[in-house]
Amino acid sequence: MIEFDRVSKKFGNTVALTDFSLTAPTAQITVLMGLSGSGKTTLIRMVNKMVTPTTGAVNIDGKDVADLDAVKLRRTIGYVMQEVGLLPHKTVLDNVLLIARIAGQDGDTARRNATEMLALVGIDEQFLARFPQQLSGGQQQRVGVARALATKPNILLMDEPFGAVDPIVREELQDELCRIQRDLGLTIMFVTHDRHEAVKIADQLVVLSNGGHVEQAGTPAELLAHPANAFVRKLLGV
Amino acid sequence: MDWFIANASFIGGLAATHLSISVGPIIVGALLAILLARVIPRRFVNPTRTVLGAIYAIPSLALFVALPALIGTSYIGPTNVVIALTLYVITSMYFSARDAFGQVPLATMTTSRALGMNSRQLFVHVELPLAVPGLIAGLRVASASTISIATIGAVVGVRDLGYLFLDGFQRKIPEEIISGIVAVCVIALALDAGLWLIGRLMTPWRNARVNRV
Repeated sequence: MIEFDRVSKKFGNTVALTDFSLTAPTAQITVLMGLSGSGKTTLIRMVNKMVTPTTGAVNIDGKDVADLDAVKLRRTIGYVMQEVGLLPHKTVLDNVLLIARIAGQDGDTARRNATEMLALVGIDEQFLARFPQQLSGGQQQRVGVARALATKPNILLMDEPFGAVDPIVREELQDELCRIQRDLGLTIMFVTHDRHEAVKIADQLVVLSNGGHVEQAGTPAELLAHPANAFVRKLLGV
Repeated sequence: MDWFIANASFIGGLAATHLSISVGPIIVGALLAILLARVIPRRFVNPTRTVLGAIYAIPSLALFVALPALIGTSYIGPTNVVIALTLYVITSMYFSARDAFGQVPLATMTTSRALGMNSRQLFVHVELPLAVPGLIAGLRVASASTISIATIGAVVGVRDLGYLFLDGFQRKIPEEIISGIVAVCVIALALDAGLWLIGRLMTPWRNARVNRV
């Protein structure tokens, strides 16, 4: 369970978030949806301490992340972003293997986990020795997800992960993500501005406006049936 | 050609000296430039640029002669030349090293950090390997210019290939000057080819065929 407790963030004089509170329940997909400037990316980056709140706290299973070592914490949390960011100089297998190894897994365990995760995301063995640039965008992001899961995390943070892949592949990736989430019991925080994606994959859907103001949070069905205001209606297209 | 053959072993000796005073500065200068590029904080980048730019602008002969006065080394002999060449390598390599590290894709840095790499792991696994193409490119320029500038060392008494220019000019032997030019070019090209090869071997991913499936 991830709890945001009255979190605010200022970058210099720019206020990114004001007094944001939210609970992302264990083993569920919480989708943060909003326009640019709503602080979605800042919020999920607070979970793995890539961003530190100006005030307020982020707790994982009751522990304030401020008290945890950033590097160790990140090795227990998966992270995927739209630009994928694979290491261009390492093969597909080595990309995943490296993350398992730096987290302290021994060679055999790392290899087993890496191949298992690559199989889980549907990367065929024939691609393991290729370099990222030899894969399509969709395949690269599959590897990105496998890499994020290489340390066997319970939490997965995803920042518009499927934003750059074509609509058909995006549908496939969403289906597979939901399957993987159920199989592994992952707690996922997922950022998107795509309403179809949000409604499709969310257990909890959170609509944000400027400054991380929560316009409405609930199941997609609740939000679609009873949008709280004009902003939510407009963003969800109902 | 006859002159060259008749004096081959003499030229060989000069070439050996030439290499021995150039290779050290290229390696040490490159390492120092990479170190500087890594440790100088962003806000000091522009002042550093100015200082290094100014050093690079000092004519080499002036630097060879000024160094003894500045740091108390002997006027004659290779030490000043070696120090001056190292300074030139640092100044030219610093800029390319800075750029090489700056070109590492942001998303790769972000995800690597977000997935638990500490700063040492980031440097070893991400920044350094991805900077290799830029570093090699800078090193090729620095190495060619060092081999060329080293000839001026002959003026302050270092018996390297530059001696062929001085001697050939004074004694009016064009063959000797031409032999010097050819020998300098051969060494510069050989080093360049070596660096190119090293770069290629260190970056196999850049030659991987892009055939998306």
